Amino acid sequence: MSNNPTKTKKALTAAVVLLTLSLILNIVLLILLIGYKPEGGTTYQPGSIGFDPDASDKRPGTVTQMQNVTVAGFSKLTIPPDTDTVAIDLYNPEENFGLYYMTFELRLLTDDGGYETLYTSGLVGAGKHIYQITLSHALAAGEYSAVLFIQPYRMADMSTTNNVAGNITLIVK
Amino acid sequence: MTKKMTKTALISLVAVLVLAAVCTALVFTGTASAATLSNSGESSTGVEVKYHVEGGWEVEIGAGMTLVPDEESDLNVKVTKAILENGKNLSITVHSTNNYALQNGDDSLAYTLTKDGTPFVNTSKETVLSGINGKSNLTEDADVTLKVKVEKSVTDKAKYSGDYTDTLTFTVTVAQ
Repeated sequence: MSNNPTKTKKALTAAVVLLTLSLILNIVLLILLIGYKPEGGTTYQPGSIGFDPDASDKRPGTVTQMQNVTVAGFSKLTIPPDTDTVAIDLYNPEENFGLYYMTFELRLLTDDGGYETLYTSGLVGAGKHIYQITLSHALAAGEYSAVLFIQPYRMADMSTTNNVAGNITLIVK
Repeated sequence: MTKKMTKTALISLVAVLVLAAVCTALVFTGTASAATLSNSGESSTGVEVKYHVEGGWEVEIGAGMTLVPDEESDLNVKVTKAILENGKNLSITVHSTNNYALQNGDDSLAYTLTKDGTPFVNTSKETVLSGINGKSNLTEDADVTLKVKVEKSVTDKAKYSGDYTDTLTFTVTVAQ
């Protein structure tokens, strides 16, 4: 009968159409899979050939600056003889609020080029004053060369910064 | 006897008159003085009146920085307050703990600290600012910007990871 060749043709046509549709579907699925971007991920699939979109030129470095620190001192200090209690004004300026603590050390210069520590403070916050100190020992009447050494500390991590040494004449009378 | 009595009486009378005259003179002088005092209002009593100005200084310095090779960084030093004795001036010098080298254990990286293009060396304390006094009113003369730089050719030779550091000490001196 003449229907057999037609049926065969129809079957073949249907098969071709189905195969074509299947191929198209696979291609579409493949494209969709390649284009799929998991959360936090990239479109680049590791191991496949292609340029990583996250690659960029080397970043230039940037200088990181600490904010300036303000330090206060004086050039002359008069103290009474034969007593280790001294009136003074050591302070951390208010400009350092929120940025720097500081410590103070009073150093008596010695003839050998070194020094003897007369007093060391604890940390002093910005805006705070120390009005009286106790020396390691009293001094006899006379004039002495000394240094007020001021060391700031970053509040953020308690690291030390550049520091200041103020030359002082100690007048004991 | 009468002559003796008369003589005695006369001598007594003269003595009294002399005494009276002296007393009168004294009183008169005192009265005159009193009159002078009351008229002129002078006083020898003195009272010392004074006000004391406390001396001192404040300086602002660069606390620190993280360098980038071949890039110059600013380090500012400024006198913000200087109340000094008459005739005195304030100066600031700088000294490096590690002779201008960034240190990490036994490894070091040399860097430069310069003022107006001239690098500081640690053979002596280098002058950053000088001649600052109260009369200057802390103008631009009391403010200087130093430059800090480390070369890439130096940092490329670093042996270790981690921080390479140095500390600068600024010394403030007030003198004639």
